Amino acid sequence: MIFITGGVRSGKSAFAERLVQQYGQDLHYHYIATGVAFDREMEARITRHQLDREQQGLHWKTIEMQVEIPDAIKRLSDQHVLLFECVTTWLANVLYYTETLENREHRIADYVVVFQNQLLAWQQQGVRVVIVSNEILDEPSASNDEVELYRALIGKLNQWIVAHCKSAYEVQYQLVQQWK
Amino acid sequence: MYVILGGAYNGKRNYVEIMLQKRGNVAVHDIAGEIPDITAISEKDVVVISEFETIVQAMLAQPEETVAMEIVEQLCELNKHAQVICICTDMSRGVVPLEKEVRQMRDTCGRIYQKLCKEADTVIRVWYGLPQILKGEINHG
Repeated sequence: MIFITGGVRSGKSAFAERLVQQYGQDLHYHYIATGVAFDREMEARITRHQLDREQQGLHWKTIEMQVEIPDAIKRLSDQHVLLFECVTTWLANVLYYTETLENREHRIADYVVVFQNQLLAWQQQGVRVVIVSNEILDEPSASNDEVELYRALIGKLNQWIVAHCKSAYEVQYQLVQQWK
Repeated sequence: MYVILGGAYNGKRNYVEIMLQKRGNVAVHDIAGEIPDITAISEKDVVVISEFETIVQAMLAQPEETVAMEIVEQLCELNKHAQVICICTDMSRGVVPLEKEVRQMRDTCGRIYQKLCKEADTVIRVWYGLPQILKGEINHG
């Protein structure tokens, strides 16, 4: 498992896509898209990323995942490459989805554990997983409880992924620092 | 003096705790949001100072440079006597805060962190639990 973060427009997606090219043409490439196209700006963002990926000559299959992990990708093999983009959007989806549910904190914690277990399962199955996240924690704490909850959850989840991954990178304006 | 730098929820405190465990039997004062009275600390004790956001809160009417000098001076004085470890939550890379008071707090903390990094023997940035030494070295003695 490889972890990649960076700021907005840091070049982290491009780096992630370059990184997976080393696996060669013969594997099955899955792109896990967590973004929901709710407006034209998001549509344009998604289209641009799709075009970037197509230009590499690899055959990507896009799989949408808003909250739950789709059954189709729960059991894979060492012939699969998963590019998960990104954990920040997925977590925001979870918060949004659970907003009106009872026992919300438990529900959120359950989703996070299921997600972590799936990452461990993919590791066991030999799947090459590349996870993209964002750097969003270098600012004053939020006055809004919901945002502060999100900050705490993403910080802890990023820490967990970094602890369990094989390598971890931070991208700043296309400059890459390997932390692990 | 040690400075541990990093964004919120990046595992800074956990890193400090692990670092201190390696030192074995040493008295640790965990002080959040204030600077302790020097007479309450025995020589060679470890003092972990955190929450600079709270420390500066009551001083925001004064110029940031004045506040920063005063606080850093106190910590340097304390460090002559004990071992000071400062946990500094980096807040310098977000959008400029809308509220004037938060801007002032962020600027003042930034000024303090600059001075602390200058004074410190060792500066470590913690990124999701992983350390990067920006200055000096880690001494487990």
